[in-house]
Amino acid sequence: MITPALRGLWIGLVVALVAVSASPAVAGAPGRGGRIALSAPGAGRGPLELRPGAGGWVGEFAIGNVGAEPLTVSRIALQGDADDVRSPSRLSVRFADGAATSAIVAPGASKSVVVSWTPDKSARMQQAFGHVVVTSSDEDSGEVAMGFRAQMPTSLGWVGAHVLSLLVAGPLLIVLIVAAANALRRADDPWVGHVSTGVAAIEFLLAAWAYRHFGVDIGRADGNEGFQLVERAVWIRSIASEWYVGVDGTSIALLLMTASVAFVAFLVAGAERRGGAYLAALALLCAGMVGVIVALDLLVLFAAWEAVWLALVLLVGGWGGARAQIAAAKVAVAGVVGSLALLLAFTALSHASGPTFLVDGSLVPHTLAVPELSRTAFVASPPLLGMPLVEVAWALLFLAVAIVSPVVPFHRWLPDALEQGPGSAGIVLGGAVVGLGPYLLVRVGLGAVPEGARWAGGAVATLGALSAVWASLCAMVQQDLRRFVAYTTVATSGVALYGVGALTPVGIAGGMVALVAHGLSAVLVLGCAAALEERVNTCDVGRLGALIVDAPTLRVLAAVGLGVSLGAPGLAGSWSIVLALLGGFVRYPVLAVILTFSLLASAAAHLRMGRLLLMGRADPSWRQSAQLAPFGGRLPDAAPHELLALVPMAAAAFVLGVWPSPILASMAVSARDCSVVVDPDGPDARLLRGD
Amino acid sequence: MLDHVGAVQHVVVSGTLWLLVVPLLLGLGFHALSYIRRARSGRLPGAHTVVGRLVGLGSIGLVTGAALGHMLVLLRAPTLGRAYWQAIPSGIRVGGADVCVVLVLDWVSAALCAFACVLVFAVAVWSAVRPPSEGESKVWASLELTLAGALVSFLADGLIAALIGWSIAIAAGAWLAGWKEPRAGVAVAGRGAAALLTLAFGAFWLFWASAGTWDGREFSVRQGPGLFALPSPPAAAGSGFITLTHAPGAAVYVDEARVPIATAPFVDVPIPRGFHTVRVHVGRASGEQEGDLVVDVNVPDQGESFDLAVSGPSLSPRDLGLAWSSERARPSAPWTPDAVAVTVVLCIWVVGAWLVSVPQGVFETSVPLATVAHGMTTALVGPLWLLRASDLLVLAPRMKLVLPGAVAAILIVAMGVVWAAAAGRRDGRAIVTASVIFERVPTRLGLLLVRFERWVLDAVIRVAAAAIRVAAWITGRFDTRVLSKPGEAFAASAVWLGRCVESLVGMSIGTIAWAIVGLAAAVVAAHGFWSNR
Repeated sequence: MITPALRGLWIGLVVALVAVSASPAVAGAPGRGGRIALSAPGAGRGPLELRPGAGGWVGEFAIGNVGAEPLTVSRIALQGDADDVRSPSRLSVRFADGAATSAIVAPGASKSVVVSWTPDKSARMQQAFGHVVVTSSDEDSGEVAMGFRAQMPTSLGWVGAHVLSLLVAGPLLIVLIVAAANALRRADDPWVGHVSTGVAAIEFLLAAWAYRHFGVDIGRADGNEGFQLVERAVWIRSIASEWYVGVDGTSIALLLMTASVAFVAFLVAGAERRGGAYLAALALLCAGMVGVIVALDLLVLFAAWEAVWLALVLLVGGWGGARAQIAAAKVAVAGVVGSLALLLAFTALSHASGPTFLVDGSLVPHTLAVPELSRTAFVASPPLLGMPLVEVAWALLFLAVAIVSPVVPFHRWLPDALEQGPGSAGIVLGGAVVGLGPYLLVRVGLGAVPEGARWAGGAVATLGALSAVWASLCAMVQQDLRRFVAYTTVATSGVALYGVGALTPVGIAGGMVALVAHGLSAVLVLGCAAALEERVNTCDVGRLGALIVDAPTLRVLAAVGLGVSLGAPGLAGSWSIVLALLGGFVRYPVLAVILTFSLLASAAAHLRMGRLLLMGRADPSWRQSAQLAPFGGRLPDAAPHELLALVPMAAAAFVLGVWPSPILASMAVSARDCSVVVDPDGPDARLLRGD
Repeated sequence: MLDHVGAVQHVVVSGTLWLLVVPLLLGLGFHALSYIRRARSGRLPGAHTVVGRLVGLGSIGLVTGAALGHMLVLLRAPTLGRAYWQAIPSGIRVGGADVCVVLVLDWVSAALCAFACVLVFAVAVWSAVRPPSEGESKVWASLELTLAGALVSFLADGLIAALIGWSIAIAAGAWLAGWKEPRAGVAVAGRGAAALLTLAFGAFWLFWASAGTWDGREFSVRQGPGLFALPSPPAAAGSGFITLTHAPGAAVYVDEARVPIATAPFVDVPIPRGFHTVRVHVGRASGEQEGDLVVDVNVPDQGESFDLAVSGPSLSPRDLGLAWSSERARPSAPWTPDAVAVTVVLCIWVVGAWLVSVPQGVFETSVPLATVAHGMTTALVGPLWLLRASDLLVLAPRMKLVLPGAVAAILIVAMGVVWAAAAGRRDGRAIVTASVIFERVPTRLGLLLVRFERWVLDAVIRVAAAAIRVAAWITGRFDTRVLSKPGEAFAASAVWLGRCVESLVGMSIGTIAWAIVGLAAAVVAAHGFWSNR
């Protein structure tokens, strides 16, 4: 249990390690001739805020000469070109006095540069981020840049413009509320639970707004690296870290799912009458998950990742069952190993990256931004430990992914954590946390290190398929409903990794859909498990028999959950299997056969669990049991809070089963972009090109 | 080429095919909610109610009316090849695959839908005039589920809709089989799962086989999507029109326009006279032109209509058959990669059709008429899929004998088993007594196949199931007793270490962790603010 204590230090450690690898921002020694200095109005350093005006968005910054001789500005231009699209279209830059792209600035004087963005009336891009690169005769400074940003007004105003930050900060507000209540010795008062649930509800509504606001047909070619709802500000300049968050098609559905799962978890926690400390840990977990999903900066991502593991250890160890400490220790060990691997991978990747500009235009020697890393040719980097850097970094990254997903043989922490952990935490763990692994693989593994993805794609798909087989077979012999969910989770992750490892748009989309669908199924089944645990203190189907028959609503919800988990066509879970298998078939047909076998075993496991749990008659001894005596010997049906939490999930499972547009439309574009970057000559890409 | 895409030309975009399914789902939802409500209030769930009876009869009656109405409309169509077509959600293209539920009502599906509706409606009327019985709402729900499964399966155009239709049909069968004995229901569902996997696996194989070949480990693309513009008489003289009833969701641009002129599916959208370049952007993407399909059309002064047809890899056997017929020369050698793929996939589908259509274990139910309705409608599901797949025979001529044989065998056996169920017998020998329908030879053939299934196929399935169970047991044991050991040891050490730290510091690990988190957060935030000033 020393590991949780150490965990907090990781955050500090990463700062220190990355700081060692990064040099201070460029500061050239003074030389002869003019010296360039860029300044934005008000902010000084930048980024330049473009404001409405002149039929679009306009902003001005100054190129000053702080040297003793005239400064020749030979070129001002937007960063990026047709082959490397960075900013949205219809952006332009010029000198304010009408001069062309070159000018001479007298000593002590300055020249204004106008940046304008004139989007169409029906503009799909709601934001513009970019840099104006200035080349001058100041050789010491080299190319300098001024960052700029424009934000169209949103229907939620300031809240809409900072929705992702608020989604991360929302749960942390619960932590602060609990801390304040704790100071007043009222942390366990019921109002703390009510307020927490209220904040979680607001969090869900914000996520729903973000989803509604998201443009599904926007891709990388549209600018802003294909991300939307972007917020970007310098966080720790010395190590080139930024508060850089944004969502694309692969993350927006996951974000909404995570917010939904969090809301359900807080509802269940409220019914469990959990105290403030528990709610704070749950909130930390939710904040960490949202952080991982929206982070586009490796340091932000790592900090959020650490928050997730720390919160899991606290929740499982602090409020779990009889073997909670062992289960928490397993989570901690898994977390430490995974975090260490991730830290080393991130440090190596950042160290190998080239110079780039921060959002304000500062030049830094290395980058932590995921989109910038994707422009680095890691193949040219010197080897690490005698192996190509890209392979070492990717292997470390995949180790972290394999632990959290989890992939056999790193999966043993999950069944114990789900079985021993409290119900509401289990819902979050099974429904959302495990999805972070494949998501991390897509966001960083494919998004930032495409060469590594090409190298490891086959291994990922193979591990995924074998993991699915193993977990499906193990699921067939489980007696505890939560352990069953744990193994089906491993199987689903296997399907997702198989799809992602195929590197085709269909496969990647299938892998990502698997995470969303699994969230629905896990919430439904684990929600029913939590209800059973609360009523009769067991989830052992061997003991329970078909007791749930007494509770028709819970029975239907559990059946729907099992159906989604199984991937029954007509329910949301089917799309993941269809797309992952279709996408992977072209590359790994033999693995597709193996995965099909695993699906058959998975069907057998689900049907067995369904028969034990949902069919037949309950053991008559339950009628006289102490747990059910207050209810007349019958299992009480779903309470209002359970209906509120689970019925919308079941409805979503049905709707998405026949109308997958809400999740697939956005994923299709992002998966295509991802696949094109990773494997431009892949079968699907060639098929689409027709060559 | 015109002949091969004739079916495409005659597809009419319909907005009403959903009427053949949705009333049933609403009725099913009503009965499910009514069951839950009664069970929650402690009343006998599933008991007879007048409203339940009305809803059941009404939903099935509505669908029957809708099916017959569509059939009448189809009857009035000027050409026999006409079909009504509807994509339920707006189309999404992921990679090269159109992902949506597509329904098509042609003559074959219309006839089967009408048969299923009339049959189930007759059973529904009979149920409605019977004295009230315990569990009646379950009977209504099972009838609705049965009919919904059959109709979606019959209307399915492509893998996605077929998977959904088959699943509903399988669910209905599993429910009926498990009415009294859950294990029997599980067996039916397991068999159905295998059928679904064969269906999907075959479709995936064909999808890629239609695009290229595997050369060792590499896949070489041979045929990408194509676009054809087929002229036809104009809808109005002197005007030009384009029609696209494929690739739902595809945006169509004319010349240099940045705004699409229409989104598929659409019929007779006017375009100006003269020479035009039509660009079809399949899928919803960000306006990139790479990968768009382009075709040139010339609208003369007297006007002309153009049917746009998108060909290429597809999850629909009908589309694949069209593409193969129109784009490739017939193979000179019998075992080209295409022919091998088609042959193997057709064999796989024969197994899948058998698994889904031949009922098994649906005899021990207290609702024999519902069972008969289910059996007779589901018996047609597999053969219909094979019939749809017969479009692919152009590449696998050697299957021309096998496929009809398989269809006949499945129909004979399935109907024989259903007849046995109707006769109240639990033995396949009841087929022999059913000589009213089956004369001696087909009956004996059916009996032979039933026995073959029982003693060979079932035996194989049981051995496989036993093997899976043994593998699961071994894997589970290994997982618990071997794989978990290192983790357990680590965890025990960590727990011991944690207790040492707690006793040393005098605080719980949780408190220490929160303190460190707070400190780290404060340091990082402060550093962030400080470094940016």
